Amino acid sequence: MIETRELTKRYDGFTAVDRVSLSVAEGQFAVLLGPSGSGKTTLLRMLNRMVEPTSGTVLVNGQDTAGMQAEALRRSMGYVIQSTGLFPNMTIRRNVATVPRLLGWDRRRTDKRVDEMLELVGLDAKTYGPKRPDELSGGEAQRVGVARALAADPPVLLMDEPFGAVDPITREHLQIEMKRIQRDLRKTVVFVTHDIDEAVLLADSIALLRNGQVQQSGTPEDLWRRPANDFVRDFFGENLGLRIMARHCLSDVELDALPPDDSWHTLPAIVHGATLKEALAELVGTGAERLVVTVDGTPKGTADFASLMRALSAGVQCADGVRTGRGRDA
Amino acid sequence: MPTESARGVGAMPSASRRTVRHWVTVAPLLAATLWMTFDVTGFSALLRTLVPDTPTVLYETRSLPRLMGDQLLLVATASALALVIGGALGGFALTRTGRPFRDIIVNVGNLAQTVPSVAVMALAIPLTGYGAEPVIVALVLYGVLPIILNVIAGIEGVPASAFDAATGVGMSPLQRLISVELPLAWPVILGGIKNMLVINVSAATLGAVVAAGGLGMPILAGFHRYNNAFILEGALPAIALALLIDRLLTPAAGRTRAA
Ligand SMILES: Nc1ncnc2c1ncn2[C@@H]1O[C@H](COP(=O)(O)OP(=O)(O)OP(=O)(O)O)[C@@H](O)[C@H]1O
Ligand SMILES: [Mg+2]
Repeated sequence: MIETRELTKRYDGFTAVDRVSLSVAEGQFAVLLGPSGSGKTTLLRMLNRMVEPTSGTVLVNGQDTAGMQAEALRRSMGYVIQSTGLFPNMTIRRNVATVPRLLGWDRRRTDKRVDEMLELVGLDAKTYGPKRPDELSGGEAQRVGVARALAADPPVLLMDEPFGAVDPITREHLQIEMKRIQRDLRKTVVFVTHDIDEAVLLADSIALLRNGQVQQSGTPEDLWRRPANDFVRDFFGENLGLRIMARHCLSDVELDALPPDDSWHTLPAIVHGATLKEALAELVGTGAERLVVTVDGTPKGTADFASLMRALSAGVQCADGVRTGRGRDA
Repeated sequence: MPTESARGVGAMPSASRRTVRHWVTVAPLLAATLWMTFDVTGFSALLRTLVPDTPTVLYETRSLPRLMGDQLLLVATASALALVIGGALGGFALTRTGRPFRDIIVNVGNLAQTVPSVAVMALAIPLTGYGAEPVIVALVLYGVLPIILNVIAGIEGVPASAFDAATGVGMSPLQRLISVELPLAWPVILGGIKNMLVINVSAATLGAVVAAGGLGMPILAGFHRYNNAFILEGALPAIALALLIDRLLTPAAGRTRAA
């Protein structure tokens, strides 16, 4: 668990981070969100002591990090920087092997781990391993950045706008993949972004910053239903409701049974991995009152607007592995 | 997650092809230098063609292999010292304590280069006496600047992202220096070493003035005795040596990459 208490950073009179007290539970995906210059990077870098706080404390599993050796602390937290930061003088394999080597792992274990990590982020180790960073596309480089951060299996990952430099489609792939990795490996992630969609899609909890101060922190649903002030409301804008709907899937909806007669045959069908936003679009687009929800092509039940809304209140997010990102039944 | 197709496959010349191209330019210069130094008959025949009607074409006091040996020893000693001193000063200028001195160090290095080398040697003689020492003092003074400048430029040119990532993954400052900063700065530092060596090879010919030996001896004798063949005997190998060092330390065309 990571906790900050009254954490503050000042640069000659200018306060970049102002008395931030947050806590991130183990296995949680926490997002630091805010406009440019709001102090996100500074706050993140105080967690692994890349920036020394002016005042306040950072606790990791209850231990004050000020008393720890900075290098050891950093090796226990994977770090993905804004611009991927791959070492241009090393091959992809060597890049991914960096922390295991620093930790003195033997060669066999390191090699095996590098293969696993490259596979985890969807890169073929044989093809990509011997390449140099400047031979990769932006998306590939960012995957390698994630693989490197995960290589020594740190319990915590710090990520600073890791998917900033890629096109929207690749970005969405990387986001969904990141969420899967975080859940599968039960990592505690602190993720910096200024992209609202990205934050709402990934976060278990969001801390919204402005001028170094936390305006509000909580689940995206909290921030949507109970914004603490006008800044929070305005920052998320009018589409937050729809964005929140994109967090939830039909698999979380309690379906109504299929009517015994054949009347449902005329209803539009949708896969259970579709998001509620996609389901809503389907309702609005077809003008139907209900949708038939299918699992592997078999109709399982129906859902209407009210049942979508109930799932939204329940607060569950798409159960593991069913989010398709694309809703229509093939 | 679909993998994007690999780009740039085969776009870069392979390492071995670059090595071959590198040696193709180096080998003739190496051959020329060795030939002039060791093939007495051949080289004197060349000098005789270039400067006909000269009774003696080869300087009698010292043979070419010995002159070349003097020259190399002067250059090697001075360059090694300049490398250590320049590296230390450049490195110091990059540390937290040294940062305030950065500009002073660079300016002093610049200043050292503006003093004529003959003057440096003359000034050094009361301290060191005649011979190799005053030349080495002058060459070190000259060689230190390109090293300082390129160490600073090379390390400061390391991308902030690589530096940051190295710190972020938990490297100690020394680990970061060895596995990230020096490899990335190496092409620039190598450029400084090359500049220093080329400057020193030609400057070392002045050593003859203070009786340090070297390829300057026949040149000096040529001046006194109006013998152009002597001048060429010293100058041609010195030029070949300078070109050889230049080519040897210039990576072959294509992207420069630290190994
Ligand atoms: N080393 C520094 N010296 C002085 N001011 C700094 C320093 N680092 C950051 N700042 C200032 O602190 C503020 C917060 O910077 P920070 O990098 O944390 O913002 P950010 O939220 O990450 O912004 P972005 O989204 O643009 O990356 C900025 O106004 C910045 O200018
Ligand atoms: Mg930032």
